[in-house]
Amino acid sequence: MTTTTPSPPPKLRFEHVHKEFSVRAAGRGRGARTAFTALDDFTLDVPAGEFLTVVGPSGCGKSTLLDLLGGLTRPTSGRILLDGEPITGPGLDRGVVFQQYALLPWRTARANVEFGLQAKGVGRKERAALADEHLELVGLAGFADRYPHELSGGMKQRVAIARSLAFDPEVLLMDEPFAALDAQTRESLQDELLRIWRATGKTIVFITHGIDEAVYLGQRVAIMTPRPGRLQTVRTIDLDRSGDDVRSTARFGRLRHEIWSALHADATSTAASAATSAATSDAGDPTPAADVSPRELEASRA
Amino acid sequence: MPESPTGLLDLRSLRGRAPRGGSGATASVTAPTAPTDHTDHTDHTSGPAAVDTVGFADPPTLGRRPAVVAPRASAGRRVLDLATRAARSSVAILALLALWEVAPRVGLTDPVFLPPLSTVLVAFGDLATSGELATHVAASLGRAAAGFAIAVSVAIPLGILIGWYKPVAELLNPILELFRNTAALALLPVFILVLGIGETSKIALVVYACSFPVLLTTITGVRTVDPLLVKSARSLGLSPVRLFRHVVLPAALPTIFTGVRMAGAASILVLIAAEMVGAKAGLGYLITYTQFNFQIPKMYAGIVVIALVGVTINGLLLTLERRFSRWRTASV
Repeated sequence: MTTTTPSPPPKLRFEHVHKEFSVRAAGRGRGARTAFTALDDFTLDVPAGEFLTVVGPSGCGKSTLLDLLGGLTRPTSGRILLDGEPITGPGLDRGVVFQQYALLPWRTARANVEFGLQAKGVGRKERAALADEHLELVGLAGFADRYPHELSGGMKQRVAIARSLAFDPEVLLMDEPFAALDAQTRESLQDELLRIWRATGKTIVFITHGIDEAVYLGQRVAIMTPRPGRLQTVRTIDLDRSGDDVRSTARFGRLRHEIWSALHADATSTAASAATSAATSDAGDPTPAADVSPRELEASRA
Repeated sequence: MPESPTGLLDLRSLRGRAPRGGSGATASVTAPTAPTDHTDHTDHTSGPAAVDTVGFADPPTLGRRPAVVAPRASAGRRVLDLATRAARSSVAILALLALWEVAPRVGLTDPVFLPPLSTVLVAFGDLATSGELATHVAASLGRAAAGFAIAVSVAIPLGILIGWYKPVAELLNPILELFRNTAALALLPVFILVLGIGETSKIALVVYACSFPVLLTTITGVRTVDPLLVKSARSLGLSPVRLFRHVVLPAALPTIFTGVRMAGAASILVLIAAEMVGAKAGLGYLITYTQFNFQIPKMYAGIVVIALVGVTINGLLLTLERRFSRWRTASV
């Protein structure tokens, strides 16, 4: 199940992480609530500097995993260690990149990148210098004074990546960051990301539902299965990426198929089990991760 | 986009202006082709960035400055643009004013009850030179400004509390609903009974009328902040106070400003009514006083001043709003 690297201590360690949400029970009257397991006994070590991709169908707990890593929610049981310290809340040792960019529309690209630095308490001058440096890193040197609405989707995501890198986090967490982009932009950003990863040596946890993306980017691919969200297996990607069109090599195709089979085999088995559990009425509407975050926000407001 | 309607309007206004000569005459010469051209140009000047970022979206131009080659209108062209736009926006007003002048003169209306515009303007001149007008405008503006300022400084913080904290909302919502649906003017007698006939009751009424638009839009603004922005800011470990200052407030500001503008209009509206009931100065007082004394042209002058004051206030608030939300329409 886990592929531990024994000698250096892991950057990130998931220890039997379990997360349950209380959701409305369908068809059992108002106010009836039932526990929904979003993530079940997730155990995994991520060594420093690794590019780990997490792939799985929707509802498999990927986003919950990311919220837990980001410290936005706490596990029901188990814990996540970053450099041996348990994660108890949000912090600048982790940078999160969201699918929908989450840029502040009233700030220019530079000011958006400075946002995290401001939170860190970096001085004004240094802030501007760091922002420009990171905008250059993501290839947006000339766009510092543009507002988000003046940038394309791909450029916005570059700004978001620059923002998350600028405050120098230990780990970069990416939640399907390229899912909203067109195929060509996505491919070029994938290459950019690999370049940035090599240049910065950051540990990256990259969540995706695209098998191709997972294989292309990851040193290892963690395959997750839904209901409940579980880590099925971790596949090491031994792919020679030096070639020109890596995606069309036979090796890439084989790896892709292996992961597809693993996901598919599981999908059919869960479909079967879902059918049986539907008969016992608890399948209901699982309202998975996507629905969870807003509720968590509400809770924090109240 | 109402491209063709504007085009039509453009044409008509150009024809209307033709006799005035100068730029108008040249405009009418080029009129047949002008309309579409004009709309094109305004589009480019308002958003050159948006246009070329689409073209230079991604990889091919990585890190390169995009070639900003938005077609620039020549100076003469721009003056012409401006002139046509001014003509287009003022033609309806000019028509109304002309009608006002002509209708009483040709006997369409009774010149005693609706004197022609020129008579009203003379009365306006008298009011202005005698200093009477300044006194009334100052009295009204002073009250409106005081009430408006109090309302905004109370309603925005209160709205933020209600919008952000559920328990506060649950506690205050019923009362707010009740008061919101009670017309401000219905409470005027109550205000006068409780606060007397002096300044306090009038300012209080303005505060009351201004508070609700600001309060409601602030609540909406705070509630509808993109949850992803909040989540992203929280993931940076921002403290609640900074989250508020740097994310929630700026995000809610455009919505809040809509309420502030509505409050600006409301302040004048209720104040005039209040001044009509009991006051010794102010534009509302001027109107009722002149009506009772049958100084009809003066009354109309007062009404015109109120309209102008309203338009000016709205214009000022709009400018302020644009300053605060420049990022939404800003070009490089």
